[in-house]
Amino acid sequence: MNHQDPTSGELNGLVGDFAELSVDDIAALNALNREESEQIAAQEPTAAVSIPAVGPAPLIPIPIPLPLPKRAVSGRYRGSVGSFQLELRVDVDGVRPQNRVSGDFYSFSGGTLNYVGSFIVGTPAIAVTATQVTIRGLGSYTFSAGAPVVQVTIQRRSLLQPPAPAEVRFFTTAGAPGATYNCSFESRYFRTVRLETDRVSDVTTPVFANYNTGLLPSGGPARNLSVVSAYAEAGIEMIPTSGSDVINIAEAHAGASWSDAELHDSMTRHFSVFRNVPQWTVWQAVCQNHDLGPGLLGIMFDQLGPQRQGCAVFHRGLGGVTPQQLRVQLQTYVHELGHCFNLLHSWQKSFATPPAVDRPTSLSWMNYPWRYPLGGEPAFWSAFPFQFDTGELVHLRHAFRNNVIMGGNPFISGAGEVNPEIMADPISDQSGLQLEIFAASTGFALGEPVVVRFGLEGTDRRGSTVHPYLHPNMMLTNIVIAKPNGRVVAYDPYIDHLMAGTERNLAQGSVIQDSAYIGYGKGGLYFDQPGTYQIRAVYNALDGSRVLSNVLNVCVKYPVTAQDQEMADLLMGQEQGALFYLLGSDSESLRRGNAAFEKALDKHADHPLADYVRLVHGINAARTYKAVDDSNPKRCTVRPANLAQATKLLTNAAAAQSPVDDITKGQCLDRLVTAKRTAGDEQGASEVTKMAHNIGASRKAKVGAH
Amino acid sequence: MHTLHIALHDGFTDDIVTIRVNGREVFRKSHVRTDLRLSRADGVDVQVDSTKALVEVAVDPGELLKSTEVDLSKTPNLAISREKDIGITFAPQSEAFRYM
Repeated sequence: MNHQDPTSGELNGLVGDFAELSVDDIAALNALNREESEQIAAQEPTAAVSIPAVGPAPLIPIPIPLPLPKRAVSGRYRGSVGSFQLELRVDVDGVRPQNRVSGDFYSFSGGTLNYVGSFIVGTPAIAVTATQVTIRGLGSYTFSAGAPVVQVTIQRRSLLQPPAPAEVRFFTTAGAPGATYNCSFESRYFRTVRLETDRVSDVTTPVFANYNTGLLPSGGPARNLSVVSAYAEAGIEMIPTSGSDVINIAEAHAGASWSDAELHDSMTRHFSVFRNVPQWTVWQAVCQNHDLGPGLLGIMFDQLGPQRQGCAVFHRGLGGVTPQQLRVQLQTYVHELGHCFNLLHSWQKSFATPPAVDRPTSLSWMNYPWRYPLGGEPAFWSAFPFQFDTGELVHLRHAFRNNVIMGGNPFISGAGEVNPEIMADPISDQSGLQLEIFAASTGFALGEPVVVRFGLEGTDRRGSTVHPYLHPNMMLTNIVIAKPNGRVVAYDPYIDHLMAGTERNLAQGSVIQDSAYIGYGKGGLYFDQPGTYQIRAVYNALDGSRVLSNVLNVCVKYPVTAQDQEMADLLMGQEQGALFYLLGSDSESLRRGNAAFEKALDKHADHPLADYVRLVHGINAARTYKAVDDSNPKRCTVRPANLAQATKLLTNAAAAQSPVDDITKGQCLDRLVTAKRTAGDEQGASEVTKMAHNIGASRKAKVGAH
Repeated sequence: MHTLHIALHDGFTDDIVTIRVNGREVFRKSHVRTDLRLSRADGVDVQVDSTKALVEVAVDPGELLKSTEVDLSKTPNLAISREKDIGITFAPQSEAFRYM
């Protein structure tokens, strides 16, 4: 139950998530977190504790100078250099800061202003002094940026002074300076959208105006919320246009209910600023009925041509003035506009392109209260703070322009562009675990299978209970990949493995290791272009902790020679990716992939990447391969293992000069040992075991050095 | 007569769906695809003689087949979804379906 003043409607007095934080507050909170961690450590039974003597102290009045509060630096800035204009969004303080900087570039050409591209700095370093805030980090771009490092400097000013401009400097990754923009403060909102609301003539109940969230139990402070103020809390300014209109129900044709096509038609007639191009304008129609019946409360109907420019709400299922009705009106109005910003339902984020993480328990405008898995509708409303969740906030404020602007990319496309829940660092981490990922090499040839090694180390002196599943196939460790073009995708394994619950104790300093090929999965080829990729892993621990790894930078190099190019062509393809993933297969459906591999071995046997083909062919040769065959009376064809061929291929692939990583080499030789033992070749198994042991010893030495 | 409201919800991606109620085919469509704006793919209202209804659903590709018995006196609304790694799932409910 919410006990706050139900008449309070100002953001200034809000608490928790709603409080406006200064950069000092953020810095203080971070320091407090560190201090608390240290105090917790000091409270261990073995820690020495000294208690100071306490006595009465005289009260001496000390004049305390009242410092003037500083302005928040977050908001939108704009500046130009030559023919380019930069719209900058700084989000490091204020309400629900997301610790990001993003921007859109435009270019003037004659009398036109054209969109060029966008960037976002997802995890910048933020330095705060008494006089200035400096934010610096590597940006992700929609284009290939020559100077991708962004540094924003803003002088701190008191509330009595006008906002300071932001100086934005770009640098190459080597530190050479690029362009510098001086951007003037424009707004405390990150984006501004014009909203037009038109009513249909047969709507008999009032168009929604506002709802006091204190009238019924909720999970946030009581306040009067309108559509405009709900978006204002998210940092989005909604400016109602003056073009509000009443639409004649006759436009809905037969039955006085609307189809999506009729709504679109009506939008083109009544939306006073409609241009059918990407622009920050949105239309909301307040209707009585939709063809789908009273169960449809609202819809983002615009999927014709440039999408997401309009939505509608239906008062047959929503209308009325009771608190319950006003509450669902507020949610539906805000929710449908959320779709126009390219937000998906909370439980469907994985359907975005690229996919994000589903959040069915999210207490968000974008969830369905009646689908809330933790207690259904009553539980949802009791806990709902009337806000977007963190991932949605980042999308609204910082998504690349065309992924969010109305009339930009189609619905769903780009809706998962930024996956903050995975990529963002936790505010505090007391999981007792540390996850590290590294690659055998920081540079891969184009076409070379990208294999990542994982190391999970216990850091708690009491040890930690963990599951051992580091491989992403087991679905308990997730991988996200930021591509050179800035797109962030979640790695989705080609085949999911459902594992039985296994627990073990991981002592402090002990490490669980594994390696995984992440070049191919349900999303196809993940490293199909030269450039620098960023990879991060998340280990989902048994206690619910999300242990984030370091960010691994992997460079996929341009082919240097014609042979490199041909090898890349032969090794890259959907079937080749599947063969690398499956470690070989006889499947007829992968025939072309195997043919490409054969050609690679025939023509380029001396090329380093040929060892990956030997590895795949060798493992496949070492196993008995069974195929369902309806023409065979037993319905099964068995191809026996070819151990001689497997031994030849795998010993070459595991040789010292092979580029295959040591963990994979060891695992492959283990398989060969098993195959030889199964075939009764103990001596052969013993020889391979020795080889595997040498590789293992070499790896331990390397890990130790690492 | 009682009305059973069947709705196809999440997870359909260009599927062929067949629904039988008490042995009678009441729905057969190809290209069934979930509309992510609403989390709904399609729906059908079925008149049933008794308060009990055996609902059988077949979905292709995947050759999925599953059935459930619905008590219309308690839950006259049946949501059917196709879930990754699980297959067909049923969610009977007393309240009418709502979408937004």
